[in-house]
Amino acid sequence: MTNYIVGRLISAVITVIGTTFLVFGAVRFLPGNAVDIIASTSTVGGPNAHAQVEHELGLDKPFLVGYGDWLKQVATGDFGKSLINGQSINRFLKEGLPVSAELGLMSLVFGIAFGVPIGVISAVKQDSWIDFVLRSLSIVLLAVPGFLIAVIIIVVASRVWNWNPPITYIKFTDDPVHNLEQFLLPAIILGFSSAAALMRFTRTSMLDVYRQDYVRTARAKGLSERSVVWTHAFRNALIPIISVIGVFLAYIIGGTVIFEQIFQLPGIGRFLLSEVNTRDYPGIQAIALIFALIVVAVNLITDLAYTLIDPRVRY
Amino acid sequence: MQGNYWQRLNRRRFLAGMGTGAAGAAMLVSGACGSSSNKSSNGTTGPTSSGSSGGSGGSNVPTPPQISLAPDLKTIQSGTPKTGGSFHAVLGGGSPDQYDPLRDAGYPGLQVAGGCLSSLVRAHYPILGDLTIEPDLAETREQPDEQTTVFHLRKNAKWQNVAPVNGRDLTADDIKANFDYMRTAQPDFVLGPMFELVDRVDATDAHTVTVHTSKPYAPLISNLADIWGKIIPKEQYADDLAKQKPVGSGPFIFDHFTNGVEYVLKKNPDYYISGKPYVDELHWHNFDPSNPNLAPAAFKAKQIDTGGAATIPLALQLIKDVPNANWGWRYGVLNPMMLNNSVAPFNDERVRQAVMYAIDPESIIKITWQGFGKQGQQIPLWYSEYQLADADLPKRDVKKAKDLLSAAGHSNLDLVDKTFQGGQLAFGTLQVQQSLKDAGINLTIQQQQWADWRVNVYGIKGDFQCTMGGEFDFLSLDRQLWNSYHSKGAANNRHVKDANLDKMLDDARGIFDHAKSVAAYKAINKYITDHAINIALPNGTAPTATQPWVKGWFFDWSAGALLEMNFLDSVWLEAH
Repeated sequence: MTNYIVGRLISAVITVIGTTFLVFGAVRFLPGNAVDIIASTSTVGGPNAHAQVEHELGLDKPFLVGYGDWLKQVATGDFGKSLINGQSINRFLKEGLPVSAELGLMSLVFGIAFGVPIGVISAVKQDSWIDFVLRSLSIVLLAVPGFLIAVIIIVVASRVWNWNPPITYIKFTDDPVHNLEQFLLPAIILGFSSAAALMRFTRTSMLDVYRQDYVRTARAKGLSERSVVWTHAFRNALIPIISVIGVFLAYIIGGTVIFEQIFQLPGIGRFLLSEVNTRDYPGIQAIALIFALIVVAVNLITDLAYTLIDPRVRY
Repeated sequence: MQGNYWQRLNRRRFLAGMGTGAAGAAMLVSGACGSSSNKSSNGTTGPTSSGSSGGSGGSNVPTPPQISLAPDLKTIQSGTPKTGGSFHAVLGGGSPDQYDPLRDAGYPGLQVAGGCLSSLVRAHYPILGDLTIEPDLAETREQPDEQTTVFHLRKNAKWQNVAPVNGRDLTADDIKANFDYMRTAQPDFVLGPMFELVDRVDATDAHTVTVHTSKPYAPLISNLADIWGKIIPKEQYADDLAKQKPVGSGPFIFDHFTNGVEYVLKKNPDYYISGKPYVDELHWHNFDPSNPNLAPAAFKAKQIDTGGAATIPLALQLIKDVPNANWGWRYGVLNPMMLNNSVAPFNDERVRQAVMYAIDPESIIKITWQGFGKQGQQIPLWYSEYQLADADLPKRDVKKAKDLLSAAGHSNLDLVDKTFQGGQLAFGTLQVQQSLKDAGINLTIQQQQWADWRVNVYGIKGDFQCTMGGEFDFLSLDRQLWNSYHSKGAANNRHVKDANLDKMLDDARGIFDHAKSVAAYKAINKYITDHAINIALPNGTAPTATQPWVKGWFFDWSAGALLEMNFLDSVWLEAH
């Protein structure tokens, strides 16, 4: 087990480094001359602004050297300063991470709480009208982007009830009620729209398990249907479902970027958008690193969780 | 001076300034411009005869061709100001990138900084009203001769009681330092070209500043009264502190911000105008510009005190939903088809004129602006006294266009218009493309990423054959015209080298007599139009609103000049 964890940690580090390497390179290939753009708006001025900005970006160094320098800086916990306004990236991350984490976690909880049970019910009631309705619902949620649902809800609520979600962010610790009022709607919509795929996967996994001999045996032994479903079938169906949750989380992380824009939430997703628009490389790289760390960590945790669910799985 | 001047031009700013996307505005009532019945609160009453007072219901909904432009300024300005409360406004164009107006802060940064920073003088140009230049830090001024202006500062003026100025007195030395700062020889000091003629600034005593120019320079005051002409303390010059946080002597102190979402200013207790500001706090809210429903929804829910809508259909719906708001329609930014005068084919005046005569402005008004537009000119339309008569404006003439093209040696012509992504939908580009076809001109639209367009096409590099994407309008006509069309202008992206025009622009700078100045600038307007140095496409108008309880303040006539930001000390809120 220890060897497995060590191996996975090494693999995680390689993954994160690989991701940041790709992002480090990719931003430099974004359309438009980034140095021109940054030099024209950044804190660096003067006739040599172009050369100075190149130096700040490390573009006057070989690519690998520049990347190495950035990694060294990040290893000390310093994500650098905005090239546009000189403010510390660390500051924005410190403010934005709790917001995105709250939205992400709430969405994850809603998504799992919605997607998994619905998938189980749909599988148990296969080919019934309940199954039909639930599958149709999942298709709708898959087809219609979550942000569109969000905007429609805002527009309808505004037209019909003159209601709008809160537009001022207040921390949970300062006013939990106001905070939840602001987060509840985006978390539900993001969670539900992300859950459609999870629901379908759960259904497929359950159907596969439901046909197994041991399930038939359990039923033959006279166990209640509830026990058959939740104790025997669901637990075995859970393994592939858990593996999907890592992907599910990545989907939610991507969703937070847009949902933070719509619902006035000052998370790092919203920050990422503005950084991309202004070609503020330090910010983009920092957030990419954080997202990569989160996804890798969650996937590691889900893999380790298998051992709890399936005693046959040992590393 | 280089072209970082252009950086303040932000796609979202243009779109916000025009009311984004297709703004529709009805044709102006022809008598509205300058009509004595529609003057500002400086003169007489507000609304036009189409009945848009601030308080009526369905009659407030404008329809082409007549619209009601002005809010009921008489009602807005009536009543005894009450203190207290928080004023919630909408940031136009995204979140602030930085806060130093002298170094080309973007539109949102200018809005936030506008409440924190003061000027020597400030300009006010209400919808359908008259332009006034009012005292700000300079309580009085005098002009002993055409090259000398003396400003007498308010003796009680102090910097805000926050670091790094800590409430110290604001003196003539600060103003002198600010002039030097404004004229720093760096590309991003966008006002530098406008003060090149300032020869010397003397702090005659602690509260007297004397500005000497090397030549008579009439636009000095309008440049200082512009939203960019702010006074920044010298402690903020180094390390780009002025970019990071606005600290000044204005009515509000920058308190805190939630990045990208909300920017909060608090009342400055040491503000030099006694009794002001009235409100305790000013909150700037940033809504995602790509979701035009968000700000109107917040306005309807009474979460914000200023409103409007990104498109005309949304605006008309919002007017129906909130009929008792104070509504005003104002002009968006200039809408030119910029031609590169230095390269083929536009280095030939006949080709430029051919394009001008081939364009169908009515189609742009009808389709892009949905009827709520007006043929544009070289000078912003809200500068009504500088406008040319309709008879002096070019009318579509496809035959003439073809004849001119033929005379220039072209039977057909292929052109490339570089624009930013989405820009072709917002400025009439598609209608231009369509109408040019009738004259045998094929216009290919080449889309670029916004930032790339801004720097390399729209910027001083002017790497284009032609481009459309809006253009900012300024209070200062010198900045509007000299900077853009003079061969030495820092914003001359059209690469104009016209000795006659240079002379006209130089001469206009030295004219102090108002009537003669108007005549001179009208002549420049006509010259640029007749020679098709720049083709002015129709402008749209943008609806804007405040909640009925907002008093003492409304938006000025130009969505782009931001002059109302100079008067945030006057806003107060009725109980509601």
